[in-house]
Amino acid sequence: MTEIQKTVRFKIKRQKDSETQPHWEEFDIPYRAGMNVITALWDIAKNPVTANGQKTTQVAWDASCLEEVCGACTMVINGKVRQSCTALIDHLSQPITLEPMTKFPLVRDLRVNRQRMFDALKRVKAWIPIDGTYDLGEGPKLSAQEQQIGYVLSKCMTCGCCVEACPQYNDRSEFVGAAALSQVRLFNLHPTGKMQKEERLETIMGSGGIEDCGNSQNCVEVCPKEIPLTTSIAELNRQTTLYGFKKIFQK
Amino acid sequence: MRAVKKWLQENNFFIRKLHSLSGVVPLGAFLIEHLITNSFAKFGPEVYNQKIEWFQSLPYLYALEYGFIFIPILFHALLGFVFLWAWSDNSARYPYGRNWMYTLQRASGMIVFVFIAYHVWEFRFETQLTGAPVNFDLVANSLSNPLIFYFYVLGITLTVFHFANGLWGFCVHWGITVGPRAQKLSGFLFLALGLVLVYIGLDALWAFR
Ligand code: SF4
Repeated sequence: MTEIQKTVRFKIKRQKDSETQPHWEEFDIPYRAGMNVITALWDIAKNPVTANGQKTTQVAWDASCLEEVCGACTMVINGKVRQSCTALIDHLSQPITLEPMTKFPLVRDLRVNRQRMFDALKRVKAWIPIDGTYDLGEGPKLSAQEQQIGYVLSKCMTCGCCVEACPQYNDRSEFVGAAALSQVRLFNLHPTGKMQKEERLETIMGSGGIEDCGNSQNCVEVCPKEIPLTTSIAELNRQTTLYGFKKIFQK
Repeated sequence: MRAVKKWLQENNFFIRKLHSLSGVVPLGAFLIEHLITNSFAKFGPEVYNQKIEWFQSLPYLYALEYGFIFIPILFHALLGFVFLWAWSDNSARYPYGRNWMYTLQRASGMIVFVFIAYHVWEFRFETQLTGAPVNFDLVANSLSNPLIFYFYVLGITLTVFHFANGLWGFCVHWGITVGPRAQKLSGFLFLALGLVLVYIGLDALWAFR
């Protein structure tokens, strides 16, 4: 009894390192109900043979949480940036193309180095300093309304979708990107974080900061966490504008 | 070049804000005034020529021209070209409405620069060199060439687009419209303004036919 097995066709951009030229490889993966891009990549890892029967190396990619909260498995799937763990095969048209994100240095195949995003978080001081030489005691209370706004902003997983889709983010610009900017809004909203509000605003008023935003608004379209990034940016535009006037007229 | 880069970096915030502001005042304000003034052509050559004479008789004319028009245009346009450096277009891959507007804003800016350069050369500087009188006939003559006429149709339309969409960006950039609802409403408002201005501009253009 021979049952014809349904397969899924993949087209994957392979690249050994950032120096070598990329090439495409195709794979046919046996179909299983409910499979996603990660499980397909696992299948390829078990049996790295291309669609025309050639033995090849395993495809390198990053993944960790498998539930769209860590951001590690972000890649460009069928031309759009997203997480591969939540990219269900049933919802994708074939052949399914997998490419690494284009805005970060390539490590290998689908694996990139998102260091620039973490550097951006450091640059904009995306934290609340509470360490001191003595106990600072309790901070002020957070209103329910602030909690709600803050909660949404805190869901960012630094996945890189927003900057991958941003036309202003590339190696010709030092733009910190929507994710980092949105964190400035988060920490400027927090009653304890507010105490360093102007310090944070200063970090985004230099070149590569908020003024590099060109309002294409792609970030908010592609953010898997549905973070209102363009609202964050416009809110920071308001904060920096007011602070800018203050600097002119109060000094 | 290095010095320019350093200056841009050190004063990034205020330069960008000034770039945005210069597009609205004086340039946008002047655009509205200019389109409306041109509409006097609808009342015939005599009325139109009177208006031109009135403008030419203004005191401090050169200061007005250079201070409120030529220098701001050059400032706005040249900085605009500098900012284009960071542009990596992806509107085909991410074809969202706002992304198209983002791309069109930049594309229109470049075309409008060429258009304005031609327009100012033809009716302001060339005439100054040759001593030819600036009047209805001069414009009508130039526009009798269909190629130039349709270049003006394109130029006026794109200039108004760049201005109206620029106003939308201005409101975001200065933190006036923050949420999605406000940004959507302002979009409709500036679309309406743009349509009105294109109508006024093209209607005047046709008066020279
Ligand atoms: S803001 Fe959204 S798209 Fe950007 S890094 Fe955070 S989760 Fe990813």
